[in-house]
Formats: sequence, C-alpha cells, structure tokens
Amino acid sequence: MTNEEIQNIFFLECEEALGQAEEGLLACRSGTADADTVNGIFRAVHSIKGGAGAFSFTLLQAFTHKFETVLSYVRDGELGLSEGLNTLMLRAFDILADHVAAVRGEGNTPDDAAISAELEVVATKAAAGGPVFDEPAPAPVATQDAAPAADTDDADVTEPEAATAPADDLDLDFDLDAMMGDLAVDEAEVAAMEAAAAEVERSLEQQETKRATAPSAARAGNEQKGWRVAVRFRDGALANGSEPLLMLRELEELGAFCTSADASAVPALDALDVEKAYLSWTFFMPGHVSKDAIEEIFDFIGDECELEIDPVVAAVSRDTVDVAMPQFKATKPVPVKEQPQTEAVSAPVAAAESAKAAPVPVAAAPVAAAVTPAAVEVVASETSTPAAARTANSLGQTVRVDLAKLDKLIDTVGELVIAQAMMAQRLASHGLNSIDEMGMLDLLTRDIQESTMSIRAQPIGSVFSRVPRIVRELEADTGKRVVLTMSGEATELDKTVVERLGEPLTHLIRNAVDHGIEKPEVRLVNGKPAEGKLHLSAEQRSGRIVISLSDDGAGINREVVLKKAIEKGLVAPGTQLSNEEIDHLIFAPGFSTAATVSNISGRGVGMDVVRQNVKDLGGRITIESHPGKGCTFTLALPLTLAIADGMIVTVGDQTVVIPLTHVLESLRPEEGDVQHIGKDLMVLNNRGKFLPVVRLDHAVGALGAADTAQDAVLIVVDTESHGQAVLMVDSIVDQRQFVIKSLEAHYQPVTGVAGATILGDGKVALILDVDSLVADNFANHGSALAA
Amino acid sequence: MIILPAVIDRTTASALISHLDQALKPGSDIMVEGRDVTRIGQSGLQLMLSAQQTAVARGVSMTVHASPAMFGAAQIAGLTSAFNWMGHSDDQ
Repeated sequence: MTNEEIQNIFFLECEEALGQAEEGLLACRSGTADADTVNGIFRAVHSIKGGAGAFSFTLLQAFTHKFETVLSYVRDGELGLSEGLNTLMLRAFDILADHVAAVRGEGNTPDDAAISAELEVVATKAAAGGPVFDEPAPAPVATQDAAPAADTDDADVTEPEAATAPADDLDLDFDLDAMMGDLAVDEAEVAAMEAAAAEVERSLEQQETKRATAPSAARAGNEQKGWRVAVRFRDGALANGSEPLLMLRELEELGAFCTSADASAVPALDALDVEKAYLSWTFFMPGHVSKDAIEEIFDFIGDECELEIDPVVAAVSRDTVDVAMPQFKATKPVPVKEQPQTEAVSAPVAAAESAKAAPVPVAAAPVAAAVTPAAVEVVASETSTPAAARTANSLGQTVRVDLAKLDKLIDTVGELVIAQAMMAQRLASHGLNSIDEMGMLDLLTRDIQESTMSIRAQPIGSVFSRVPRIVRELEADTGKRVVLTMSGEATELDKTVVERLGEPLTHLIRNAVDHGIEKPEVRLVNGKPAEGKLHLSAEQRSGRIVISLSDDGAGINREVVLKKAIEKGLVAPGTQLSNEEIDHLIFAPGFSTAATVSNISGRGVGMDVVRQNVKDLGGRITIESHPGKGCTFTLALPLTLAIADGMIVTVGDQTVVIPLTHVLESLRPEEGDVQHIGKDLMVLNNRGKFLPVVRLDHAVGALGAADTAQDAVLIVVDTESHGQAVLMVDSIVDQRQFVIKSLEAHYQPVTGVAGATILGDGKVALILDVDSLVADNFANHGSALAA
Repeated sequence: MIILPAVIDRTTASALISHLDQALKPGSDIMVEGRDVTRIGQSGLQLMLSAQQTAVARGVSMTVHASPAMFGAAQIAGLTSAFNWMGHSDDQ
C-alpha cells in the first residue's frame, strides 16, 4: 500500500470521526449526551490527532490537541457541560473540520488563533478548578460511569468512591480469556487505553500550548502526593493463564500512571522463554486512592506478584516514562535447522496459529512468498489466516477508479443504449420487433446502464453533512435558535448532482433561517416555541430525487413580495398574480425583501442562484408557503444528468424531445377549447384555466406542421418562471429514456434547447429547454400573454 | 514483512520467535505488520521487545505497524518509546 493510499484511508477515518464528533456535540447541546457520548467525541478527536501526527500534519495535530485537552476535562467531569462550553466546542469542531479539509487539499488552512486561545483559556481555568462558564456543578458526565473498580468495561473510573469500592462488590468470577480479548478488541477498551494515554499526554504536550503552561503546571500533578506502586510479576503469573497487563490497566483506571518500566531483563530472541516474566514497573497512584484499593487489584494473583506500595511525599513527574531496555551484543540469527530456507518464510501468522491450534508441523504451513537475499517478504495467502483473509477482503471491498475512466465508461454505455435502440428500430422495420433475443438484449442493456450509473451514485449525506454547521453559523449571526432535523441522508444520486447541490441548498437554508424563522421573542409572542424548526429531507420518488426544506417560520409575506416586485419593475402594477406566482417572485434576479443587506442575505442573489442551479441540474423547485406557519421548498432533481426520461414528439419535419419532468398532460383540444388572441397568439381553456399556447414549429423553425390546434396535440407543461404553458406539436411518437448529449460541448448554446440525443433511427433530436422556450415566447408576446 | 496473528499469547509468541529471528537478517529493514492484532499480553510484549533489541544488535531497522490493541498494550506497559512505530507518534 502506498503512502497516498494510507493517507486516503486516514482521510476516510477523519470523515467518520468528524461525523461521530459532530453527532456527539449536538447531543451535548441538546442535553441528551451521556458519558459514552463524551467519550466518543474524545475518541474521534483523538484519532484524528493520532493520524495527523503520523502524517506530519502539524497544524491539525496542534489544534486537535487543544480541542482534545478541553474534551478530556469534560470527560473527566472537571468541566461541566454548559451552553457556553457547547457553543465553544461546536465552533472548535467547525475549525477542526476546516483543518481536515485543508490537509485534504479542499480548502485553506483556517485561522484558528482565536478559538485556540479560547480553548486554552478554558483548559487553564478547568485546570485551576475554578468556574469556566456559568456552568452547573462539574462532573455531570463522568460520574455516570463511576463504578466498582472491577468493572473493566468502564473507561472512566476516576472517582475516589470507585477506587474505594468495597471488596464484596467485586465480581471475581470472570472469564479471563474474555477479559483479555477485551483488552483492545472492544472499542470501549481501546477508548480506555487511549483515555489513559491522553491523561499522560496532557502534561506531555503542555509545551505546545505555551500560554497554558504555567497555570496548568499545578494540574500536571508534579506536586501531588500519592503512592509509589512497584509491580513485578513472577513466571507463574504467566504460567497459570492470568494476564498481568489487565491488572496494570486496572491501576491506570484508578488514576495511576507509569513512571518507569524495566525491560532490561528481556533476553535476545534466541534466549527468550515465553513462559518467563521479564518486566517490572513503577506506577504513581494519586493519594485519593486507598492502599487497599490498589492491593485488591493484585489480590487474586497471590504470590505470583511482587508488589510494593509506598507513600510518596516528593513530587512525581509524569512527563516521561523511564524505560530500561536490554542491551545485547551483536548477534547472528539462529539457524532453524528443521526448516529449509524457503519454508522459513512461511507466514508466521499461519505458523503461530497452527502451533496453537493443531499439531501441524511448521514446515507444512503454506509458503506465501518468495525469499530474497536482502529481506524476508511474507505475503499472507488467502488461506493463511483469518486475519490475513480479513485484510485481503477489506482491501477488495473498494476499488479506486479515475473519474475520467468512469465517465468514459458511462459515455460508452450511452452509445450502447443508442446502438441498441437503432438495432431495434432496424429490426422492427423488417418485422422482427418481437424476437426473444432483442428483448433479452434490451433487458441487459438497461441493466448495464443502471449498474454503470449506480457507480457514480453517492449518498446525499455528503451535502447534508455541511448543513448543521451552516445552521450553527446562522444561529450565531442572527441570534435565532434553530432545531435542525434531517432524514434520507443515505439517498443516492449522481455524483455531479451531489456536487452541484451544495450551493443552492446553502442559499435555501440561509433564506429559511434569515427570512423564514422568526426571532425567539417574536416566536414567543406568536405562541410558538423560541426555537425554530428546520427539517431537511431527501427521498427517491418516481425516478427523481425530492429534497425538501421545511421551516415553521413566518412563511412568505406575499403582500410585501408583490409590493417589492412592483417597485423593482418585475411586475406591472395592477397585475393579478396567483399565490404561487407571487411566491416564485422571490426567485427573480435581484429580488430581495430584506430591509438591509447583511452578510447572510438581502442582496437578492441567493434565490436566483437556487433556481438557476436547480434548473441547470434539470430539476424543478416548488414552494409551499403558509403565512404564519412556515414554508417548504421542494427540489425535484434527476437521479443523473446523463440519462433522462422524455417524450418524443414530432412537429412538422422535426422530431424533438420534451423532458418528462415538465410534462403535466397531453390532449387533443375540442373545438372552442383554444381561443385566438390577436394574430399569432392562442390560449387553451384547460378546465377553466387559460394557458398560453406556444407553437413549437415557430420556436424550432419546423416546416409543414399542423396549423390549427384541432389538428395538433397539445402538451401542457410546467415551468419555473411562467407557470403552466402549452406546447403545440403534431404527434407523440414515444416516451422513453434518452441519453443526453451536450449541445454546448459539441456546438454552442442555443436558446430553448437543452441538448441533443440520438434516436433509434440514428437521427439527432433536440431536447427542449422548456423553461427558456416558454420564457422566450413570453418575452416576445409578454404583454398579450400576461393579460 | 512479518504479519502478526490476531492473538499473541504465550503459545503464538513461542511460534513467532523463530520467524522473527529469521527475518532479522543483518543489514535488512523489516516491517512487523501488527494491524490485525486484537489481543496481546505480557508475553507478546516481551517478544516484541526482544525482537526490537535483537534487531538493534544486528543492525536491522525494525518498524512496527500496530493496531490500536497493540499500541494500547504498549501504552499500558509504559513501553511505547521502546518501539519504532509506524502510524503512531510517540506522544499519542
């Protein structure tokens, strides 16, 4: 695995860790956090810090350290959760996310000076034991986990009461294997170890946070009195199946830290006896832990342990662990006579497993790699060990593919779809349109197409994940309180659509918080809770992705919107507009009802951008507003930009495609349904609603089209800017999926045309841009149509 | 590369001795791949310490790629500074 691949794994882990941390921090803010939640946040930040250090992302590492320090005080119950602290931690989280993005090359390194200083101040105050925020009594979190010392699942046993738990509370009837398995397999146990390490780390890394150095010195424990615990296990401690490290871990859980480890007795490999115990340690235990509590840990091992517990009155430093290492003279490898040289490279995993599980000779272990004179390379074969197999499996789960290759594949599949359609049409012309092979080919082509498109599909959660931060920032800027809920994050849609969704979604959310949700005092007066509700959802419906953003705010003030629109000349005075039309005025370029321009909104750009982006994505946006109750924006987007459903119609000598998303209905008008206005204009009386008729032959320059509505087919379409309209065509040929080819890329942009596709007969058909086509028609005959 | 098994107890540690010894050829660099390790006790740590110091004595550069379990066990025992870790900084 290359460094880049390893680094990418770290980035993926960062994403997971950030997600976990954010979820936990939001739980803290909502008051639903418990000790596990805080531990989870700590672990997430800590794991990012670890990776950052490994890859020399020093700025990220330094920031995570400061954040982690504050979190450790929260975890240990020395800093109580409060609104101020929650806000600070969420802000720190946002900066952390920016740092991660920066190391991924997805943004600039954030300026973290201010938040770092705040974190340090909080850490310093917490270290001094004084009040930090207007917080409740400290330790509401960690105390939930205070439990008897024998509870090995408890990562946060720090309270003196826990240390002095009566012996009869201890459950000594335990499964040692299970405990040993728990040493690190279980996440909670990893957390315990990391927590212990972080405890040591607090003082280790004070040098990084210089401003915090002096005040934190008192907390570093240099002056703290306690116990010196010297431990040495005898050989029998290993021989009878007990595991010394479990006892050391229990010591740490009581608050002890290792001050020295003596490994000087460990012999070289050729003299190593795994039945012997060579190590000994000295720990410092804080004075609040009783001597009895320490002795209890080693009670059951009896004489197999040399234990000395002495009171300590002098200062004990935990800055470093003194390690006495064995010193060997230069030696040569021990020849393994019973194994030929080539078999010495058998995976040790396999050898070890076989030695443990069954009397299989080592020589029989599978040889997995060739030997080179310079080094022994061992590559676990698929059957060597379950562990190796797991690794191999995990590597095989994903394949990184260059996006350009993927796009090429999708293009080719598109060509395949076209070729298949052409062949079907050719066969049909020879009376072979119902042969079995063609049906099978059709099925397979569709399967390949769907499978290929699914490769590009991504969960919309990657866009949704940014929303909580946006809302937090808006809360801070506006002074409003918003409870955000989301659903459907796993809904998948094309990567390109996902990437282009961010901007419109951001504008919609800004609009909802800035204009929709009222200030807390206003909400209270109106009988609503002070906190506004914002719900963001995504779901797949009828081959489309439907994204909804609902708020329980004031809704659109149509009176103000219409007045502003008239002032800006967007609407002629006296014009009668439906509620829907008034609501859609907020999408007009330059439209804003904001009295002042803020950094959030008011420039009249955002909603115009929303509509344009959604339109560019081939989607539609609708508004459902209820004054005083709230507003819902609904975006209907295609699953992919490469393939769409369309209605193939003919008009004169042309065949064109109308995207199905716009089509509401089609009809043959009765006499009298269509009325003429002036020379060229017609309107359709569609169940009492008069809709302008757009002659498609005029729009696309087709010749020989039906001249009267009675001879034509009318397609009722819905548009963003002008509501419903009617397209007049000669006939409907088919309704099916088509592969979109960009006209812009191959020719140039053409008003009223969204792209092109190749039909089954090999001819090129234009795909209509219904919105711009109707808008263009309105521009040419605007006053008459509006009337 | 030496790939460690998921569990390193006395039994597996015993089997690993000869493999580690063979792998530590003077002048070579060796990676001990321990990311699959889910359980390691004092015997295992002693084995790794012995291998590390044997490597030093033979002029072999030995790097350990540890799982959280393996690194955690070394932390408990105060022995993180005794190894050349890959993917872990000393101050973790």
